[in-house]
Amino acid sequence: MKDIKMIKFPRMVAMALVVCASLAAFPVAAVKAAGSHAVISVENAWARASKVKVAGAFMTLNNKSTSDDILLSASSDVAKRVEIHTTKTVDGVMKMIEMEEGVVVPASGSLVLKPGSYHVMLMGLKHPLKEGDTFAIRLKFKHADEVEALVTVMAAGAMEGMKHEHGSHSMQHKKHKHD
Amino acid sequence: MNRFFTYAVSVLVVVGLVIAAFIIANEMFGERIQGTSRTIVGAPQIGGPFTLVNEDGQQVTEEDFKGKLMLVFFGYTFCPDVCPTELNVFSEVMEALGEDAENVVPVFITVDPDRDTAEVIKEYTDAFHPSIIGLTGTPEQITHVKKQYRAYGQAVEKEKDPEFYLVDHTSFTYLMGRDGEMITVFSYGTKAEEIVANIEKLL
Ligand SMILES: [Cu+2]
Repeated sequence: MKDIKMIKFPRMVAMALVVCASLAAFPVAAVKAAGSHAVISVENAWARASKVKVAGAFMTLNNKSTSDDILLSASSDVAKRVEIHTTKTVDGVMKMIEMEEGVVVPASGSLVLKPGSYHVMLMGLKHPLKEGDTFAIRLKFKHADEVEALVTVMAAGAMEGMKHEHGSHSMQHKKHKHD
Repeated sequence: MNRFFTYAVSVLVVVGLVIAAFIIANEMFGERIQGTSRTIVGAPQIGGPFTLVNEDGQQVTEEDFKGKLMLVFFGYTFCPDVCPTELNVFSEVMEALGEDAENVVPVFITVDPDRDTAEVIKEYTDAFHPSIIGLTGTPEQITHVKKQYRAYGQAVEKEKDPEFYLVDHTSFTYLMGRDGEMITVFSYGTKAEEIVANIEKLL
């Protein structure tokens, strides 16, 4: 048993050395591997003020990579349950539908979440959302790293977020995927 | 010959009337729900008596709104998208009317009476405009008023998800006259200016 370990250890060290050497030899390849992660940024994230148990949040997701991505899910500390919804009208009847399969964020394009369409549905609010408040929503994608959007609370009847601001109030922090 | 001629004319008139009736019926009911036009006219049988509970917990009927124009929308407070959008339009209408606003009562009737108590609906509607009155009631009262307005409101998988169930609902706004008669129906997405213009015609 001991013998095997004795042999195995230097072999692993040797392998590690080879890996290090190759990384050093091909730094471009190493950077490329890290950068192949798709990047999605959030712009103009806002929510409607709410004193009841539910609120909707809206935002623009920009996909800078050259392949489509999928917004899979969202979570937030302000609500018990968070879902991605869309609103559909069928014969004058409004329905909200959960996007269980996620929503595509097109390559080199954007996905706009806005009233009457896609929204992040915050269900079971732990406290009311007051105009001017900010809170975080974490977004998970199929390819891109998780993104944390800083959401600004607008008036209850607001139709859009703050104008003439480009990302400054919807700062985001990239987080590493844990899967 | 003369008799045959009379007969032929009668047949043609009847056929013509049937076709006309068919076209009119199609115009009135066929496209009505699609909302191709922003203002939907017709359907005189909408509206009528109701008994509901206002946001202060008091019982109200259609009599309490007599003498005023009513803007009626069916929704529920667990609705963060469509309902706030429509209530925002209500708020814009009331602001645009200025002093004339006193002749109009904007009403939000819940299709989800189980979750929308008087208290909840008050909090919800007041966030948009203080003039908006939220109405709730017993499930029977809500079913009745929905029938009166030919409105639809159906909870989706309520048993499966008793806390967070969603409710499908009609998205029309009804403009009711001073005697509770229906003046017109606006499809969802109608701009406040168009509603204001219709209201001003009645003032
Ligand atoms: Cu929703």
